[in-house]
Amino acid sequence: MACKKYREKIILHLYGELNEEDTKKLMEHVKECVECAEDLAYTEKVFHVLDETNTTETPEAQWEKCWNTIDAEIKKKQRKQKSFLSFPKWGYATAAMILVFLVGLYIGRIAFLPSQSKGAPLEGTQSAWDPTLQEHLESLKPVLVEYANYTGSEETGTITMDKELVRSLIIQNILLKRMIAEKNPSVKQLLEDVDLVLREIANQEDDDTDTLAMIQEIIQERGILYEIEVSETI
Amino acid sequence: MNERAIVQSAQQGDTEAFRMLFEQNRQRIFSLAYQYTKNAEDAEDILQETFIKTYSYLDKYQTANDSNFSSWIYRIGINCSIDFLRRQKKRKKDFSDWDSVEKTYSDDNHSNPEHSTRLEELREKISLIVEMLSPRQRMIFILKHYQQLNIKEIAELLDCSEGSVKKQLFRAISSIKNPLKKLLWEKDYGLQKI
Repeated sequence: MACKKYREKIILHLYGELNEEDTKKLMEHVKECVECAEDLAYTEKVFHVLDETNTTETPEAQWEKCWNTIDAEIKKKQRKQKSFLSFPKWGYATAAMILVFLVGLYIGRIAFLPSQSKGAPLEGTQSAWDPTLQEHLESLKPVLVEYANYTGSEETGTITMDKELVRSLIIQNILLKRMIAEKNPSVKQLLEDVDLVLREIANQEDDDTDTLAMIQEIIQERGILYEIEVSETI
Repeated sequence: MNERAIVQSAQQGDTEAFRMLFEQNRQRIFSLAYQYTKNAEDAEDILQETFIKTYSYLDKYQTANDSNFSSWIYRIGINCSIDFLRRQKKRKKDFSDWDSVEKTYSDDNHSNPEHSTRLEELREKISLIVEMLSPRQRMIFILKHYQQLNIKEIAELLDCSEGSVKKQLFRAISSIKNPLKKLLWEKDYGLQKI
């Protein structure tokens, strides 16, 4: 084991790569170990043979031929690069700017726009139900206006209301109230007031003037028509 | 014009500047490649490959931070030489038996004093033995023994530890020593006794 270590050091010693301390240790070992002494002598001889047999002369290379090959390869690379870069630099800059803008737009839409812009509307949100609500309020308005403006004179005549229409308005009102209730308290209140009016209309008898007066009172007191106008403008 | 300025011009696409770098460094790389392959044509191929690769990597070389350009290109040359030999070794049928080489060259019939000197014969044998080292071992042996670089420099060029260089060098020298033993002790090659 010790000899193996010294065999390695013999080579380093002959190359002048062994420090003073290790050289001293090696020499002491070689004095005592015949095999390592023989190896040192033999390795020295091999080094001498390697030096003696070394062909120091390097033939002259065909420099011009070599350069021509290199030059041709460089030109090929430059042509490739040129064809890639033939698009003007401002073109790349513009394309990059457009790309950054589009990516920004896309990220902005995803991160900051309300849920309606993300594709399918979410159930229960005000935005998802806006068109239906507007449509519902539009359908209610003529009915409510007619009741609000009824004076009982000859000019206005009697109110003849389609009971089927009123019932369908009640059902739609209930559904909308359920959908929007939690999201928008002010609309919820409006729909509750409308619900009350519609139920009174649905139950009203033809000559029931008391109920008619009560309906008018609710519409006026609670400002239902005003609230409808406000809701439509939002 | 100093090396740094030439390199910067070459980096900006000046082919003439690159040619100047070729002229300044070609001899050193060709000598190494020739020492390594013992074949002028192969050495020229390595030289060309080295400069083509250098051109491709030129924009990665930083004049301020990296080692000087000559060392940088020399390192590329070393790697190209090792790669070249690896490719060639794959193509050639490898010798795997050291004894067969020894037998061939120990054969009395092979020696022909009339056509070649004994020194030449020994040179051929050493050349063949060196050829049988692994590409990396061969490079370390050449850088150490013939290019006379120190272990630290070799480790830096090959991007490995000094311990690894020492180990590879020891293996290379041992591989050379053993097949020569018989010849050197038993035959007189006209070399001076040490």
